[in-house]
Parts: sequence; structure tokens; C-alpha cells
Amino acid sequence: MSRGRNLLAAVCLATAFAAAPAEAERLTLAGPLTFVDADGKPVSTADFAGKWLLVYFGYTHCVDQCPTGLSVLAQAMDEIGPAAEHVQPVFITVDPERDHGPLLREFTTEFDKRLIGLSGTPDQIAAATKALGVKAEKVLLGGGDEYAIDHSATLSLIEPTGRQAETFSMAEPHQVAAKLFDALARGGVSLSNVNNIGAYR
Amino acid sequence: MRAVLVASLLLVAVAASAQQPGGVQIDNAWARATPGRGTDGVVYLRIANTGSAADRLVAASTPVAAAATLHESKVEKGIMKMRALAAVPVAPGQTVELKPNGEHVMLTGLKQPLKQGDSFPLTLRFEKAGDVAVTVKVERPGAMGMTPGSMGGGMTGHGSMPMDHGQMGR
Repeated sequence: MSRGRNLLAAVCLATAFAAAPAEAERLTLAGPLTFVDADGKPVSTADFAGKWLLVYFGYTHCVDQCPTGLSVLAQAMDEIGPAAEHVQPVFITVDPERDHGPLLREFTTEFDKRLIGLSGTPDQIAAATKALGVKAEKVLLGGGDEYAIDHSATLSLIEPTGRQAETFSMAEPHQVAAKLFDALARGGVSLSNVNNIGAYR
Repeated sequence: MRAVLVASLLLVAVAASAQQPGGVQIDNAWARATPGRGTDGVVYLRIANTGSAADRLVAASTPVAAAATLHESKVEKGIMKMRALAAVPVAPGQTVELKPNGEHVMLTGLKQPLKQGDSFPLTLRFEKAGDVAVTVKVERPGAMGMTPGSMGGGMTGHGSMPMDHGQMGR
């Protein structure tokens, strides 16, 4: 990482935070959220003990905004360097009807090998969106049975205990990285091995 | 054979724009690569109206997909939305960029995945300029495009930034 880039990140951070105060919603989760992974196996948020879950809700037929969102997530994971070992990036589909199995895996691995795709029953997905304060609504696009799913432009971060989470507005990768550093530091993770941490604070 | 097809389409495109007094010019047409089982894709491009009359992009088609439709993405009150667009207006002298998180051409029913490095033909239909054929280059799945002079232009890794840095200081 070059000095120029870090300076750039710092400048952008300063201006972005000055322009837009952090909009984060802190949430308490009643219990583990359950899903079905791309192999068809049951998965719960309790299965990632010790890790923060960085969650993006979207759907594979969303060709414009969702790949953009996942690029942000992948880039933020790169920016936090060695601290990334404490974070599990997760893509949760809001379109369980169409997104499951190999399609789900192929979609996520295109963006980042660390990214896990989760689907489930409509009830499981509804429970997850409700718990994390995310909205998702199916909208017909006019012609035939094509549809889009309006959904919150947010990322969510679930703490390793699985009991606390926050949902915040989609942002630039370095802003998401700063958010991750902040959460990891609060959680007692040493960031002394992260280069140029100061650029994010 | 395919190269001949592409070449002839390009000739049609050159002829079409040459025939128009001014008319529209298309450049920087690119698509995102699609995962193996995915059947939807997206195309972005830049339209310059070099003529003296307003024109509108009203339709698109390509042999690689069952349908190509004009769409617009936007964020309203914190919600990401995608809607069909009837047309993309281009005023005289104006350049309109179809780009990530904005207006785009959505491809549905792809006959095969779009692979990074490939290219394919796309025909744009304008109300006045008529049909304009372009060649679309396929970039990586999460590509954000490169805007000359943007702050993200020189970055490596997962690509350029997802938002317009020009707006950040406002």
C-alpha cells in the first residue's frame, strides 16, 4: 500500500465523515440466524465463533448494484490486511426462490474466494432481514415475470457473540475498512500488525 | 466468421453515424463477466450527441441474450431500486454515461456466460439516429469502469472506487 494511497484514504475519510455523519443502527439479536448454504447444508450465525460477520444482502439477478456492493466488501477485506482473519464476509440472498446451490457459489466466488453465499427458506431470510433492520421487497419489472428486489443499501456487522450487530449505510471501501477496524478494536483484537492503521482513524 | 460479423457490424455502425448529420457516437461500451450459471448481464457505455437535435436511446438488442432492456438503478431513502426505463434522452451536445449504480442495459437470457476478455455485438436503437452497432468488451465481474481523470483510476486490486470521488468533498 503506497503512502499516497493512505494519504488519499485519510483525506477522503475526513471529507466523507464531515459530509455524512455515520448512520448506523445498533441491534440486539434474540438468537442465532439460520440459513442454507450453497451445498444445501444448514448454517447458523453461531457457526462462525470468534469472527465478525460482514453481511451484504442482495441477489444474483441484480447485475448493477449488487456486484458493486460486493466489490466494496471484497476491497474492504483487502484493505484491512491481516485483520481480515477475524472477519467472515457473507452474501445473504433476498431472492431465495432463484438463488441457491451452485449458482450461489459461482456468484460469490467471482467476487472474493472468502465470501460465503447464504440462502434459506423465505421465512429464514425474512427473519434475517428483520433482525438486521434490512428491507427487501419484490417488484415486478413490467414485462412477463421478470422481477427486481428493492433492498436496503446497507452492510451489517454481527459481533462474534452473535448477540449484537449494527447495520450501516453502504460506503466506500476505506470507510467500511475503518468501520471494521473500529469494531475489531472495541472487541479487543490487537491491530498492531496492521500497516498504516492511523490512516483509517 | 464471428470476426467477419463483428467487422461488418462495425462498418454498419460507422456508416450509420456517418450518415447522420452529427448524430450520436458511442464509446467505452463494456460489460461485466457473469458467473457460469448466471443468465443475466449488464452493459455500460457512453453516448455523445454530436448533432443539433435531441435524441433518445429507446431500445437495445444483442445476439448473445434473449433480451436487452434499458434499466435505471437508484438509491431512494436508503433502498436500492432497479426499474425499467422507456428511454435515455441525450440532448444536443450532451454526453450521457451509462455506468454502475445508474442507467444501464440489462441482458436477460444470456445464451452463454460472458467471459472476461471476450467481446460481443450490441445494437442500440435511437429515435432519430436509428440503429447503431457497437462492440462490447467484457471486464471482470465486479468491474466499476474507469473514468479518465477520476481518483480511482490508478488503483489496483479489486478495481476502481464504487462512487464518484468528485462528489465527496461537497
